[in-house]
Amino acid sequence: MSPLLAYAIWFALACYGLAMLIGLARLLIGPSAQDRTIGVDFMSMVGALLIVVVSIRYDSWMSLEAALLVALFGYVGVSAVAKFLLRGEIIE
Amino acid sequence: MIESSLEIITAILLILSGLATLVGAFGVFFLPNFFDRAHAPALAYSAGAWLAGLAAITHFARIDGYSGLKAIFVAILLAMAVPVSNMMLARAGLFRRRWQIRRGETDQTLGDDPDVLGEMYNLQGLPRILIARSVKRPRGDDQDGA
Repeated sequence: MSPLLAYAIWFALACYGLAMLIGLARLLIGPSAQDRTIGVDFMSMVGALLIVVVSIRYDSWMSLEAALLVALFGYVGVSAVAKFLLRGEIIE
Repeated sequence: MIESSLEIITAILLILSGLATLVGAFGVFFLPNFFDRAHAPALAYSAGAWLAGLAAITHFARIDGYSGLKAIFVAILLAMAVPVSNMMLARAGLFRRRWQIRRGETDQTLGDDPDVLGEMYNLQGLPRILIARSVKRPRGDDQDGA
């Protein structure tokens, strides 16, 4: 792995980490429940992207399925919370 | 030669993906109200995910053939799942905003006061009729009969 690619991977990981920290800040200070849900959504999806870049770093495509699972569970959780905020119950 | 150019392409795609995700994160943090903040992460979910997927494809094409093609499934899953959950979240936000109006509460960041909204979006030079008021003020709050 050339130094350019190594530095690019570190830069992308730092950007994703900073983005997840900003999502965590929105989760903590968000004035309403839907703002906090946006923070959780953003953190889970950026976590999936972070696993993709980590799989590039370690030359292993095995963890791409982990990225798929993280994105899928983030979607399910956020849509459940949105349904709860909209209707007051999830399965009716 | 081909290998090094593939590495350079991977590096450029990774850097652009990180920058797009960071711009989306700044939008999530700095925009003034919920209905603006709901738009911002779409940059990370589209540009960030597609660029990271393309970077994974070029990298695994360099080291072992086709096995990186499944990285694009992450971007495809995001493109299918995110509009649904974001739409439900926006509907929930609208529902809760309507109950907020019905309870008689006001939210300064949502344009209940046009002066504050113009200040927030830096629109002081515009005439007041051009500043959009998405929601009317709650009834009984108006003194001028509007």
